[in-house]
Amino acid sequence: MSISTQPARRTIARPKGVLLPLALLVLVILAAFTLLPGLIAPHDPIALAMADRLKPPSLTHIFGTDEGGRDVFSRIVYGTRYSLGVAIAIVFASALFGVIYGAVSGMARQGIDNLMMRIVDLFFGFPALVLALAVAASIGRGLDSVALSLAIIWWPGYARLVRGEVLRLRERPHVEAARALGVSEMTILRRHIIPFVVQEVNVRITTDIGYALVAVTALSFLGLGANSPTPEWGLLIRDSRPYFGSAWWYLVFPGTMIMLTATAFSLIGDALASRRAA
Amino acid sequence: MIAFLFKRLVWGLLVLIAVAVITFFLSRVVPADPAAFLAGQNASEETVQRIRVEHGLDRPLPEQFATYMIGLAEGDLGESIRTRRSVSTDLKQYLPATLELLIVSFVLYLAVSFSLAVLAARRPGGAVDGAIRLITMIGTGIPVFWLGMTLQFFFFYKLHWLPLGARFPIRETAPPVISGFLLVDSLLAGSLSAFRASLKHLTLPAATIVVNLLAVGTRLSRAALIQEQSRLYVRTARGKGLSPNRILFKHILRNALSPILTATTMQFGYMISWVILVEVIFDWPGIGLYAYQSFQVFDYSPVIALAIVSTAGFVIINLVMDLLYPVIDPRVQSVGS
Amino acid sequence: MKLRNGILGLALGLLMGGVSYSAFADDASTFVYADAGEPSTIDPAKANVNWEFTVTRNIYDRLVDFDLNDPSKLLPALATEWQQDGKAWTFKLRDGVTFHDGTAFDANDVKATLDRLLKIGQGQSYLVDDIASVTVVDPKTVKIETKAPTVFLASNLSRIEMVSDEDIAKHKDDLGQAWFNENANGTGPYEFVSWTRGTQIELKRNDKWWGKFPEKPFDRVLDRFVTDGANRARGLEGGEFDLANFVPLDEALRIGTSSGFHMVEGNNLWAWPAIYLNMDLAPTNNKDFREALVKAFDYNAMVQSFQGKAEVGRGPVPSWFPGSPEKEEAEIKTDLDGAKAALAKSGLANAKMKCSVPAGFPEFRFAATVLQSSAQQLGVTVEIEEQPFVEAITAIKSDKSNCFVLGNANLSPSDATKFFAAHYLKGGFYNSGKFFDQTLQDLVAKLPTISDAAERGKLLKQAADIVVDSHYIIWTARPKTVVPEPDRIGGYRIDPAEYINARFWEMYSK
Repeated sequence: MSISTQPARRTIARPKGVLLPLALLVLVILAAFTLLPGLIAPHDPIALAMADRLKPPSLTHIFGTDEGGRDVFSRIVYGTRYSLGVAIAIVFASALFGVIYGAVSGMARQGIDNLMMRIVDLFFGFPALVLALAVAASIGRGLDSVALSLAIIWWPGYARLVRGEVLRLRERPHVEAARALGVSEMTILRRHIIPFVVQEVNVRITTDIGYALVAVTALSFLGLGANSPTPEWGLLIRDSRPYFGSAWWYLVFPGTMIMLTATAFSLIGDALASRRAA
Repeated sequence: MIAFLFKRLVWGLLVLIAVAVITFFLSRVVPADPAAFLAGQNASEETVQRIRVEHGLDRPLPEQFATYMIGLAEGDLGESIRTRRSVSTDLKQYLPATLELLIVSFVLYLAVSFSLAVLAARRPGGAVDGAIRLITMIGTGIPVFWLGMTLQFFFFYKLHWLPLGARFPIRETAPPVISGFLLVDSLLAGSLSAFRASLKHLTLPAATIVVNLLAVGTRLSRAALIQEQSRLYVRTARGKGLSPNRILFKHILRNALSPILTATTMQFGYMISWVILVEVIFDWPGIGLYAYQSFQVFDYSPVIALAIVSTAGFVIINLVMDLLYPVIDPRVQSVGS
Repeated sequence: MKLRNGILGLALGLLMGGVSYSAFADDASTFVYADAGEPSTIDPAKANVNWEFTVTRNIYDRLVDFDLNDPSKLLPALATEWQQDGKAWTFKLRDGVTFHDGTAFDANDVKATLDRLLKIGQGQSYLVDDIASVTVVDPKTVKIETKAPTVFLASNLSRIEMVSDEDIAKHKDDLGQAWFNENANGTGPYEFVSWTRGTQIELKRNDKWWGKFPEKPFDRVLDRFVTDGANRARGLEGGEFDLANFVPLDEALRIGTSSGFHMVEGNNLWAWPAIYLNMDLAPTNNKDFREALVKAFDYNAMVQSFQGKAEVGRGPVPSWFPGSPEKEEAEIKTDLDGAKAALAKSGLANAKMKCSVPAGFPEFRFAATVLQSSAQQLGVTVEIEEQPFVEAITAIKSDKSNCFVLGNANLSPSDATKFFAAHYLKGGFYNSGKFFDQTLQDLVAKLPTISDAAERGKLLKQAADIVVDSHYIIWTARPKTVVPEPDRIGGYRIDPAEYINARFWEMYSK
């Protein structure tokens, strides 16, 4: 489900000027939202306040209010830990599994390697949404089923990336030399391959968090993810749909938040990649 | 070569069977009873039981599975409970709409990402390059459903330039169905106005898909362009006096195409998921909307069918790609060797 | 370049070939209705949901109609006269009525229709399942006998659509189920033209219809399937659609008051969120606990969410329903102290419960959210899961969930017993929380046999009280239905005893 083909390194341009600091600022804000929502959010994200129903942005409610009179900004703040938290969990779980799988495949004999990669291929053609539908239906709708189905779809990207890197590094002269000296395959893997692969994977993880966030919110939007009244961002957009004509703010702010977050992670991923290339 | 093809086909078949098995069992874990839906609200318990028997839903799971797989081998994808027709009949109806959207989006995707890449590669690291990178990056970060709604809001609701959804103007008669592709059928019916109308309806859904994919395509084309520009044969070609445009298209495009195609193949599952969302937002009567609506009433067969069809599509595309590589990219030698 | 020339050449070549297709016809008399879904069937014996009724309602006729302003008043339709004599009802049929295929309508059609309907046992057959036999007296007279005397038969027949016995005979292998699923031949104001799967059903006006059309009726009707409520609202406002079903309330109020639109308001049973509590599963199997929830519920929040266009119900029978005891019922309102007392009595402080909400209805979800927030004030945790309808109702029926939200729909214009049977009697399809009360069972069985209206009213009140006192249901609010109609058209009326529906034969352009 993620983008797997890496361009040649030297062609990666480094984000310039204010973009990177801005992206980092977004990251800091998100961290604050996740860790200290109570300090930042001016209102209760769950309690109904019908007198304030669907009020446009103002000084008291900077992002306006929703159909229950709840402050949209406060809901977004509290929602960060759900949306972003699940996205991060998905990416880390996939990376962990994918790295192990990819490393094993890369180090294995050709026959086993081939088989393992064919299994990976299977996942690339499988529509994520169909899997999510089935998982949601069988274990119930919720963020846990979203995390599970997206992780199932996500890890093959890492497996493929890592296997490619392992194959590349294995041919390196110093690795060949180590092998000739009788160093065990495990040690080679640990000392000469894993550290390099991890750097590569770090870049990928950073970019992927943004994509995973978009995917999580998409599933929530379709009604497969978080349940009311969890202020998950995708669910906010789903809930806002019937009120779009009368309350634009309710749709616009959560969407913008997702966009900003995903872009910030992409920018930082790019910066990491160009530093690796440099 | 033939051995290679054979191996690939056998593998493809195995993948399809695996997908069919997995989706079948996943979909049957669901606690709800499709017979209850079929019987409808207010139906008595006896009626529900009668329908359960009629559709074989009372039989043990292994038996249902065997029936399903035997049917599958004969090309029977089961019956949709919601539409009360065979899934194959439904797919025949809905598939062209999705394919048309996918093909148009793909062509647009290649065209736009390549043009952007050409602009960006002129001065790598320059302001234009940076701006294009940022814009495509934002495009990927926008949730596809949100983008769709926003585009509808501006282009339909505010500006009245483009339609809200569907494939053809509501009050008009669509051209007679020949290929199922409205663009083709309009031309076959000899109506350029119908062709234009279909194109208008395709614009927003296709744009929504393209914006989301653009970052990858542009990035890859740009990388390929920069790499190829510095290659010797371009210099040679220039020396031979070929025009810059010819160089761009003949050599660079050809070489840039293969990484883009590879990346797109890898994004296939992703794209299918996005297509479901886009079809839901734009009321696009394709297989995505079909499967989504069926899922909502626990109609299993269309959902399994979508998984199978999409995996089959993936397998076929991979196969075609393997065969095409030597043609597209002169550096790759025939696959057999 | 070459390719483009090739395509253009092909197009021009075909153009010269003279294919006679024109996409852009004059469409002044086309009416576009945005319906909320695609029918699963257009068989009147199976039609069950709103978007199926939209089609069957306009293609087929019923024996009798009812007055939208007073549902107890029946009007002649395919039958011109009728009378009850104990268990036997006699209907005199209208002369000179033909089906769309030209065959004449007579008593055999009525018998074949009812026999088929009862054999299939789906759709609206529950409304007339007390029929014992149908006899053709002569081509213009039909006699219907019921198992027990019922005063409501004619009224319930106003929901039963008549098909042709020839069509049934032609496809008798499966009772015509396959054929009727996607074909239609009625006597009604509109004829079935085509069904483009995933997109629309097209109808054309039947100018040989026995009834009367207004001036400037619509000759062609397109029933579009637009699943998304926001899209229906947007398309209606933007002029793509002439009328739309289930426009979200806030959008409906905004569009209805904007220029170029007016609002049609009325009573309707549809979006009437009622919360059903599971009588078999802890903690909702405890009566005091249910009482605590009913009393804690913030009814005001619901009324506010409907922007004041709603009242709070006092029981299962709305005030406009013929013979409703609503006015004599006690008001239901939020009483937090009472709730706390009831909860203390139940001994279930800090209880947890799960609520299954059918997805796709903002007002249902909101009702559950209000319950959640009200219960929290008692220290009770409510977990919400939005699920597709079948899955949600299965969850509560199989005791995996404590509550379920449903729009309370009574599809009989004056017979409350059918509603009670489906919702509160043993085995009723919507009796998802498995309520059972023997006295209520007996009352509901007895009610239709009583010919005196005042006496029936007394029994209905008793029946309603039993349900209210059990605290089985939280009637969250009873909103008015608001439908924005463009000024360029007229004729839309809200049917109180049916889901929100379009009667295309009453619509006209101005």
